Amino acid sequence: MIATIMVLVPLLAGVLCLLPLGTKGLFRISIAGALASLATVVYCCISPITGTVIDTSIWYIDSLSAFFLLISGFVSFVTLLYSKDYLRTEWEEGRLNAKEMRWFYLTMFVFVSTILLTFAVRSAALTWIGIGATTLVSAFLVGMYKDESATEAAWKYILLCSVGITLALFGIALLYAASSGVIPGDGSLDWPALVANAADLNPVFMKFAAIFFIIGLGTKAGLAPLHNWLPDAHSQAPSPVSGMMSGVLLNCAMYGIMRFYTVSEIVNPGFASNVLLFFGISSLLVAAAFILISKDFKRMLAYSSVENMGLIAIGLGIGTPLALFGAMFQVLAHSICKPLIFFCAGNITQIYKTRTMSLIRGVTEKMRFTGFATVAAGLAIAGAPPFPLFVGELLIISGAIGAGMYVLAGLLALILVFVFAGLVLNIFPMLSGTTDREVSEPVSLLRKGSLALLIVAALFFGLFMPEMVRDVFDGMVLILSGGTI
Amino acid sequence: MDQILTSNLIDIFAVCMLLSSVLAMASVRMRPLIRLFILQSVFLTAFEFTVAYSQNEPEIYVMAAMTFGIKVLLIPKMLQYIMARIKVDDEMALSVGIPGSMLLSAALIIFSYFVSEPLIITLDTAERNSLVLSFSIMLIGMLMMATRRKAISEVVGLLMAENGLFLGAIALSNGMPFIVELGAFFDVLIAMIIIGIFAFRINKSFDSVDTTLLRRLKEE
Repeated sequence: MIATIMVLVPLLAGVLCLLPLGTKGLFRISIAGALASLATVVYCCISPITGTVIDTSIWYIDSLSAFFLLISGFVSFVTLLYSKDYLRTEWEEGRLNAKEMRWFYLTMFVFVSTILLTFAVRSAALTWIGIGATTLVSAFLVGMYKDESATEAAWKYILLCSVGITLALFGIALLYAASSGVIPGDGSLDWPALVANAADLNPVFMKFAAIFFIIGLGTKAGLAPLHNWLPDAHSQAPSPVSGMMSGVLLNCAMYGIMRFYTVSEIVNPGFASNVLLFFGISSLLVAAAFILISKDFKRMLAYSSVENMGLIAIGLGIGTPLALFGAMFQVLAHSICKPLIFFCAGNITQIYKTRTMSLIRGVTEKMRFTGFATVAAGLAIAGAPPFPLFVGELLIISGAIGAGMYVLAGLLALILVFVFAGLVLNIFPMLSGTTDREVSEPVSLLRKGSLALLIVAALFFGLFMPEMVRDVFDGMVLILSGGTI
Repeated sequence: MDQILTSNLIDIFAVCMLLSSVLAMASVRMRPLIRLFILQSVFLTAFEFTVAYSQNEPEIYVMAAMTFGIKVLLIPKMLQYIMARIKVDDEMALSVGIPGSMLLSAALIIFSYFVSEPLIITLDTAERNSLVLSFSIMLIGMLMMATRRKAISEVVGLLMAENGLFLGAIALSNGMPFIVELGAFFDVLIAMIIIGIFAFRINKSFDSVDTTLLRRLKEE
């Protein structure tokens, strides 16, 4: 019941955004909707996150689902807060009109609703439907500015992801073929039933299913070499949407892969993990190379998302409890730090009116708060302590060493050094120096507030690991290794 | 109908679907391409109908009806409407010529036989030959998306790959749970509507739906 309400609240908020109340009213509804949505997500997830599974009608929320739901709830809340002033500036400068803003909020809320649906359902089929729906809805957000480049990005996004979704559906057909004889009735695609009966599934079918499912959803998660849509979509979308796509949308596909991985590892130990290792390493290599040569701020950040998704895939691929812990921590760290840097980039690119990094100079001098936040965000996504991505990367590397994969650990460390160098060398020159442009800090409490909220969250998880949080992560590691609470 | 006749019919329809795919790869004009897609969807409908008849599965009858409604009638109508409205020039832009496309398609078919071998031997349904064909159709659909430069031909490639998917899903397990099929059809339909909207937008901002113009976003 509560899960149904959780999915319906953002949908309702989206419909309310259609009320003709003028721009002020629209913003008020969006903030109220964001608050209501966050509140229901938190209320719904309090008991699952500590281990009590919600298991009613089509819903199934264990601590893994609850973890992703809480992240999505938090990130979409912060994104909606940040969007308000960002959109108002776009509106005042004539890049968006009132109708387009209304449309933005409607699609954004529907987008949030489909994301929550993806994480909260029991059946693989419904997870697939949720992921497909997120693509369709967010295509409009990518193509928000109806200019040439945004249209191109949206076109590429929807076509490539449709292929991915089709392949994943074939994976589900194979999964069903493997399980329909083993699990009777309607439950043959339910994740918990699949895990419980994994030992009896046909291993050949499951191998084929793993290939199709991981390639299909890997396209959506932005794993190289299937990542082509990602830099375009992330760079052309409005910055709040980029943050949301990076911080939450990629997780949806990753979540599907994780659920499948759990089943597949019981049937064919080592098969799905090797596929994931391959995609993970190629993602890291591609991302490192493109981060070094990037000229466009937001494209560079998009490649950093490819890098982080690659790291998560590698953590799953190693598969020891330590590495799985690292992978889950990386999910959390990435979902907090990436919206943070995208919002900073949003402030900067909106005021400077360019995304080319060589044209942006003197941010700290003219925009004090954004400059400060960008220092923190830059260090955070580059993976410097005391920010959480550092911890995640360290955990995954130590997982590799613990599993005896020394070559992999060495390679990871080497690539991460290049990524660090690339990000720092590209971001920090923008902050120093002086500029002749007329720029000034946007005066908005909500903008500053949402950035501050993300910085505080990042610092908290980078510095502290309370007993309670560790228990949650341990519970998820147990779920990922095929156990039940 | 007896067992042998239905299983022969099933094989024939599946082979005809592959043939339509190969013919589509050899086509240089848009209108015939859309007609080939209609033809392939008709064969898919016939295939589903035969399977439904021989297995006596009411759900597959529904699926056949939906395939007919959506893929034979609705989507081709939409594509033709888009073509008429935005005055697409009928010529296709190919980045690989016809002989090359044919050779690549043949290679993909052989490749599908090669990779699906371990899967085929575990199956005992009458439709197991169709599985290999469905692999080939999916791969050729993706080849078409990769080597044809007009927006509409990319979409037809995607739709043909989806036809292959449905063929495979039925061959594997006599169809998926009904909710999945409904979701899949819904997904295809909404995707087509959105793709249509963006095709209009491409036309408006580029004065053409040649997607070579859509290759500007990249690293310098």
